[in-house]
Amino acid sequence: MAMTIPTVPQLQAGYIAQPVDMTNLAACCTFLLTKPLCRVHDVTAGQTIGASGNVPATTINFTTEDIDTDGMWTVVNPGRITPATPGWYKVRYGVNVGNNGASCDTAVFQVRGSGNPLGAGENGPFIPGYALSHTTKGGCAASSGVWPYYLYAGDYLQVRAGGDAATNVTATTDAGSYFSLEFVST
Amino acid sequence: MAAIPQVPADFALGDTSISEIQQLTYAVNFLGNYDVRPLWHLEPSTTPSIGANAWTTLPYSIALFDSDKVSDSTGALIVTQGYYAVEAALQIAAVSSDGFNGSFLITGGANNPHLGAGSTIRFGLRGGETNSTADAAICLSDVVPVVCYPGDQIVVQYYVSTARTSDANTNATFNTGRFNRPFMGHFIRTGT
Repeated sequence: MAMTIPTVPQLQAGYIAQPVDMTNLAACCTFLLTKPLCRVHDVTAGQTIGASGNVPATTINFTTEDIDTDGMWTVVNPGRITPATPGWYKVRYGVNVGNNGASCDTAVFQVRGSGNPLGAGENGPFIPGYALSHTTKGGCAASSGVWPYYLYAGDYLQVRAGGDAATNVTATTDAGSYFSLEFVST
Repeated sequence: MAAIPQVPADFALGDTSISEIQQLTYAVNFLGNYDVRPLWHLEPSTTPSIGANAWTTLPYSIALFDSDKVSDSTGALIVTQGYYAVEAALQIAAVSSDGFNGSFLITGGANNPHLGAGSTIRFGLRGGETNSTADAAICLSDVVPVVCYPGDQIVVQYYVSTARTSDANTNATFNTGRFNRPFMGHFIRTGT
């Protein structure tokens, strides 16, 4: 369910604004007031985060949709948020890494779809996070930022994690892992 | 309270009504002007001690900017219904191997059909074990996971494994009290 990117009318001096121009202006406002927003989180826990080298490799899965105004997440692909409306997006996420005392690196990756002019492939890692889990209180590797690439229809984002020699297991203590996308610009 | 704009769906040829133009003007003002659209930046005025092994609220009593008057001296008491994003920065004077987590907590008010009065959701969790010998800081950022209604309250909380002071202590006294610890939030979009 993609939203229609509004058309901003050009009103030159002497031009008599037509009803369609005013309607387009109104559509711009409506778009911004109802822009795409998605947030998901995990209530299951127990996902093993594999040991990895320099690049996080375990895609974090989520189970529960909190907000999804534009049909961006489905339980069929629990590790993806797929923007339906192309544009620039802000990412916020956290991975609850449990309390086994190991460190965990996280980052976000973009998998490019068929509509991306760069072709198939990936962009990333960007928006890194880190946590050294405390053996009593656990930890949550988190970060946020504007995704540095324009997202086309068919592209999707994933949060990936990687531990040190030991392996972390996701937890839901206090709050489960979370992942959100907010449309910020055309 | 900021009024949610009522955007006219259609303009008709020959329509002489000024009200639709005014609605459009207000919508543009709401979207482009944070004096109208809800935005807050709060700071704490104290550096309270944080007790061990319990989620503790950091009170924010200074409003550097608060366009919708949400500040309630503890956190943010929502005035205008909608979806919100929040951010905060927390500090403790730590020693190595402390557990240090931060999060937001929303408590439902009397008006939220998705979050019963007094019910809570913890979100925006971040933290872990500190490995510095001086101070530690974490930054929180998340979208509130429910539509916020007037009367819902959002606070920022610490959890530490050993009782600590909620302030930087680098270089003994020079940096103490010199770093701000903001709690910020803004309206993202409408919601029901």
